[in-house]
Amino acid sequence: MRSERLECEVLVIGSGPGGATTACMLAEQGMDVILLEEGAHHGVGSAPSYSLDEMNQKYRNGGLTPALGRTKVTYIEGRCVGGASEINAALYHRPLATTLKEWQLRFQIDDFEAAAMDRWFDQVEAEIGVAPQPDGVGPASELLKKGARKLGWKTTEIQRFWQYQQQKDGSFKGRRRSMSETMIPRAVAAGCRLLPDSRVVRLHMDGPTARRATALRQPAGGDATLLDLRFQHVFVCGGAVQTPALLRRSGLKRNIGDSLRMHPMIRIAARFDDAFNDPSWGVPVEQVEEFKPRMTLGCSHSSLPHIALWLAGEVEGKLDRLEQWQNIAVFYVAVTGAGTGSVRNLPGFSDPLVRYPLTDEDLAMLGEGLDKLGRLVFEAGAREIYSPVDGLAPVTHPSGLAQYRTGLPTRGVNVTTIHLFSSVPMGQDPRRCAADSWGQLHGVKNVWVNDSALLPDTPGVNPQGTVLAIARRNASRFLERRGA
Amino acid sequence: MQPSAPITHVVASLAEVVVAAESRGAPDPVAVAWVADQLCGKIDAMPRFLALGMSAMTVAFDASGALAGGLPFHRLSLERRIGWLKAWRRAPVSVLGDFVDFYEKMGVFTYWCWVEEQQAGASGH
Repeated sequence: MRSERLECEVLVIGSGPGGATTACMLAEQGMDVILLEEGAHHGVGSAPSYSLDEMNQKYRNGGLTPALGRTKVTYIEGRCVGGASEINAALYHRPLATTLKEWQLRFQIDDFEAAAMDRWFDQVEAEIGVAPQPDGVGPASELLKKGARKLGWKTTEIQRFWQYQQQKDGSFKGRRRSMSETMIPRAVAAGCRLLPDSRVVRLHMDGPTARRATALRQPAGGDATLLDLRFQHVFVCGGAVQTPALLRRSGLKRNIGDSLRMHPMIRIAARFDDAFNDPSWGVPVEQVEEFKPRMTLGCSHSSLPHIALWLAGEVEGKLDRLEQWQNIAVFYVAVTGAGTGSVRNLPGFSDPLVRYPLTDEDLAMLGEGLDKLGRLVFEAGAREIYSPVDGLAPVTHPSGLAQYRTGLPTRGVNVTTIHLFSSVPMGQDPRRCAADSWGQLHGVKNVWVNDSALLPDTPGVNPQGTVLAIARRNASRFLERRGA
Repeated sequence: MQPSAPITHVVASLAEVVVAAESRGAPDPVAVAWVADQLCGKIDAMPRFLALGMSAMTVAFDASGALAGGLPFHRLSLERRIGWLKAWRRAPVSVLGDFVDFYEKMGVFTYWCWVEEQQAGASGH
């Protein structure tokens, strides 16, 4: 096998929102940066969103990975240049001021109140770009609004990391403002070296100092190269699963990988009398605000294969229903998980083992959410709901879901998540936090974390905006301390 | 060796069951082959410790066909295979349900991706 030695001032591992932001800010201030990414470089538009091709190209493990527990929770990770920003719904939120305040107090995070964080969110909005849909929210969102209005529940249109241009015919064409479209090209233009298809095996520690990293670079169909990377500082930004896995492989274990949190989610498919579903609108942008941050109700991408997934099993007349798939859409409820999971490495295996025990409180919240979601879509005019509970016949009245108000069963229920965090929590308290207020690992001289793993608890909203703002804040602090 | 290599014939027989459930007539052999190939790819892309477990369970599942009809699952008639898969889905042991869940759900999803692609091709989009 070929080997290659590379040197830089700062090694950034992972090119998702945290890593891309870090690499861009440091490179633009003249630092010599290498940005390493395990996945390949595909770019926006390489495959239709939420398609099988996209899953095969850009998702870790080609799709869903299970977090084990008494109820399995399947999760998604991006594995490509740009990370999760290339595949997620790109919905943008600022967390509630009360969330930031609570984190600041519970985890002793310096300079973290909403007023201090506002400038970072302002910069995220200005530099990456968020926008509402210029031609309305789309038919699935309108249905959600209709149902919510009848129940007296407040809804909001969520802006997305998206940019729109008006075409000659008056219609709008949009493009995702992912990291591969924004921060990464800027980083590369500023001299950052981007190395895709490169997985870091471990960091080599010399006491409290990381001296180097070993990585394996293997492009698809190409030969493998062993990389010996030398640096002065390293930012680990592989996400809530891969960051603690790498740190633990490197012997850094204190408060790392012990506190994984997530937003567990369940989905239903609901059938209406008339055709309305048009996946070309993208992920519907309307969400029910009424129960946030504890619970969010919204609509999912609802293409034919995704709808078929929710009718899988023994739904009578399934094929007739699928012929009218445009009368059906998928809706979700996501809750702030009460459970705490773990990330551990298994000897002899390169993938970590993720465990997440759905607690009774999680199941209760999800059951309550399922009941609310059912009421919402029936008020919107739904005729039938296909639920995430195995063996439950299609439900034709809200009372059909009332049995779940006190909680979902532990088995036979389809729980997923796309939001994972908190596995390397930030804060000044070294007894419970792995990194300080700015992402530097406690007791380690030159290792920082700057991704979703740092969020000390569940934000209760789509997290990408929070991850970007915190990454920006922390990178700025790093530069300040260095006198940049 | 890829984890799916020893089980491609079993995966193909499972794919046929899944596609049959999604089809009005006989399952399209082109669709079945495509779904089977995608399922093998998904198994090979899993974390290795899960992929090896899935492969081992698939071998055990194939052997269990003897209880249904005196033959390995992949050699049973389509009708018998449909019935045996249903029995495993209803088993009280959660890992058996998870096993069926993977093949059914991923099989359904990939099959309808294939249908969507065929429809797009036919309409010129």
